[in-house]
Amino acid sequence: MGRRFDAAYVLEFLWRLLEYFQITMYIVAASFLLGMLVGFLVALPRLYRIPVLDRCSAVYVSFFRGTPILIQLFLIYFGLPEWAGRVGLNLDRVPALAFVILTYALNTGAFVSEAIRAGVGSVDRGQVEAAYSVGMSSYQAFTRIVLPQALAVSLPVLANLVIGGLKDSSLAFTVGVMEMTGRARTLGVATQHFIEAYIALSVIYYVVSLVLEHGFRLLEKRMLRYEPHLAGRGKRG
Amino acid sequence: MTTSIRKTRRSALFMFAATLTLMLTVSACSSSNAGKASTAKKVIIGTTSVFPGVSFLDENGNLTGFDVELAKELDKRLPEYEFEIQTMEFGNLLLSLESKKIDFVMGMMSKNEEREKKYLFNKEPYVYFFTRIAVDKDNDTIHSIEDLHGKKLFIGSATSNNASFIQAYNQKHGNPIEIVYGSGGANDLVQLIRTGRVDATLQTDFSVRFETDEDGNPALKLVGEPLIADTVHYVLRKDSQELADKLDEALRAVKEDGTLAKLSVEWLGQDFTKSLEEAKAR
Repeated sequence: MGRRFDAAYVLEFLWRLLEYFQITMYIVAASFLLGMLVGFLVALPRLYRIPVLDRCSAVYVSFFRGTPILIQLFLIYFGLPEWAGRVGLNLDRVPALAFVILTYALNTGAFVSEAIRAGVGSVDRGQVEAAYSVGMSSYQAFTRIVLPQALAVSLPVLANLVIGGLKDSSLAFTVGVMEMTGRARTLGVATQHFIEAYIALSVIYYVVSLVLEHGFRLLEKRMLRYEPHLAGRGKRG
Repeated sequence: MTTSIRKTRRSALFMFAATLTLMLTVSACSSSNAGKASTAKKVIIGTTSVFPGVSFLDENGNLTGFDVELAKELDKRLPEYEFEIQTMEFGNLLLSLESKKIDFVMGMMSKNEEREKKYLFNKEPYVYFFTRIAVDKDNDTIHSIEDLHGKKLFIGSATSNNASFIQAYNQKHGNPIEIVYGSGGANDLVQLIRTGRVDATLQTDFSVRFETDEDGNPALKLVGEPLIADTVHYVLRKDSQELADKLDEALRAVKEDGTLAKLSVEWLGQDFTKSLEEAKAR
């Protein structure tokens, strides 16, 4: 049983947990950035309706959205090396962190691809036509006109994914990556002050979430500065 | 103007990708070297980090405990190997062993038939312990395994030796004991017993003292006859006979010069490293 609650421990644990703040943030940042890349690549076949690849994307998205992330982590952490072994690649000594980031990137990628599809879909067809009418190629129209608007619209969803990723990072401890949640557990075991450790942990996660939320809100305002009604302020037209 | 924004965005993306790759490579390459000969073979040991007294992180975040200190001691005596300890959830240990992520498991692992079929155990046991039923220190109703019929028994991990034992017992007697499995990190065993959510658990002589109440006093007591007389070994893959033999060699050395007994007294409170015959002979 845990020892009697002692609020002084909460403060002490805050400092100890912050030692692992860097690695938690690294997991979140790396997996989100890779996830954006993956999501973008996965969304493209469906946006341009490329025959076989769009079906592959749909299956990929369905699987990674439809299975628990912990299971995906185990499948990739234990399953991928075995599979890779068959084609002659030795992944035995690859650090667990790499598997964690890979899994989260693939998982986030599925959700990102849907957000991008929705965002791109929300951009008025007239924008593309106007782009063509001033002589832009379809690549230029997409990257300069459509994508910025699509990203601005998808931003709240992407913000959700980042904040969700922050919480998913707490599962990394199950495959041996020491990050903040893992450290909180071991601090609890070492001192028998579990509740205090978890309170300190929650405080850190919540403060980081608030900062991220605030940051995204500012980014959203800036990206939608020519369409304030979409950001929830200003009047139409 | 738009072109320069695109260029900035593109170069920013490139910077991200480059930093990412760099950080990933750095993290993949970082490993501590204890200054051993570069010809020493790297051996990765798997264990948990939440077993008090045996394998846990102290307040400063350093992995220590009986198993860990013994491994460091054995490492000193085996210059041809270099040990690296990796921690993970208990349930993942054997699977990690099979998939070659680790080379042997330490964690007070007992030998049982099921495990012997799939894995290799080294010959020298390094701890002897008895498993008995543990109940609330004020509980006078349970004194044996028969008293557990119809009651709830807490088993910390579904992959543990205790789990195998109770499952086998249940199979033989028509499932009289209700098993409640622990979940990852959220088990407050003493709380569970006090509130009646479980009636008892299985504990060993050396770990029952870690189950304390809010003031740090022992909250459980051991009752009844020993149910399992266990010997603790390292678990390896069937292809690691050479490593197993070397570990046995080193274990014999630490037993002979008294280091093993010293470690046991320091971390487990008593000398649990002698079998009954050895204890009688001394």
